[in-house]
Amino acid sequence: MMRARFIKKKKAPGLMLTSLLDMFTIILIFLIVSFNAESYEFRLEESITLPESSSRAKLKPAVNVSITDNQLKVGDRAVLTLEEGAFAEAHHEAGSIEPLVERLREVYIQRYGDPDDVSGRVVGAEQESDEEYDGQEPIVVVQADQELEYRSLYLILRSAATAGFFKYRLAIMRPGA
Amino acid sequence: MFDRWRKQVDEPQELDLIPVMNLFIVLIPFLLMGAAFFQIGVIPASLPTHTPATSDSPSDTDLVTVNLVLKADALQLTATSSGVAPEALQEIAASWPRTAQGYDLEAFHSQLMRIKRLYPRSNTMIVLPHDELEYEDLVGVLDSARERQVGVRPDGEPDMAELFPVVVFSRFIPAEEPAAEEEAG
Repeated sequence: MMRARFIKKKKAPGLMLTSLLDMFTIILIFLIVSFNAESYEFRLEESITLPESSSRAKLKPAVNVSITDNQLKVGDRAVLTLEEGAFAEAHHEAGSIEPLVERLREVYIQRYGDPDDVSGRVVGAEQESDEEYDGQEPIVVVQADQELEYRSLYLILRSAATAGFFKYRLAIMRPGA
Repeated sequence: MFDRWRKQVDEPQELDLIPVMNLFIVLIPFLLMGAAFFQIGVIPASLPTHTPATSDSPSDTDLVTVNLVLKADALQLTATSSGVAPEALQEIAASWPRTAQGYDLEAFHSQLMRIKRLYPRSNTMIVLPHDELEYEDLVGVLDSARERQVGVRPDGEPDMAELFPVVVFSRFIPAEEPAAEEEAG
């Protein structure tokens, strides 16, 4: 009886979680800071290296047009196969890319209605500030590699204009990212 | 008996951190999915549009439209306005040859700041690059034209103000085309 009182009960070994908790707290703070609360998803094409720019204008919902080495895409759908990232001379001579125009026109009708109905449309060089933009206006975001020639970029913009889009955003990478 | 009681009281109680850990383990994958590891931005742009009964040239005396021609060997700056005297517009026109280092963006930026001081309401720039100009070079030129530094904020970041943020892209129509006389765009 006396001996039993002196035998210590073995405690279950406890894990030292303090250091793990410290680490998790640091990770959590870092992730909260870099959390992108916007629901808009922008899928950056892997083969594209965007040029760096100091522009502070934010990316907002719009129709994405991307040009890679071998494809021209509207959203996720490829509309034209390219050779070495260049458009055929016939497209340059025509002044627009017909498959791109057709696809953009379809998207325009689905999202914004009739592209030929110009009532209420702001034309010319007028550009709204990013704060005013509510995502309801037809805008094309062009995702192009930093080495793309201007004539190809201009051809995409012209095609978008033919399809009814009159405002464009050139996607860029902010420095330090 | 008393010793045993005192020992129990003195022993520090350990916090049960398991629920906190569980919460963190749920939060971390969720935040990881929404984290942005690179910052994507945009440069707003437009193309010239034909609007009957209006002119591209502003008629106000404190408003000009800047035309920027990016040639393979030079950078040319001109201005148009129906409200400003042609002599005054001629006076602010400038040209800089392209060197091995590229376009002289510092001189270009200084000239734009001068134009902005003279015609403060001006904000539109029509850009006419040559066909082979790379997108990266074009963005570099636009960066020098869109904003200017006006000071330093208390947090050490530069305080920027608009210079010519409205960018309109255009293109020269090749001379051999029959429609060469029509306006570009």
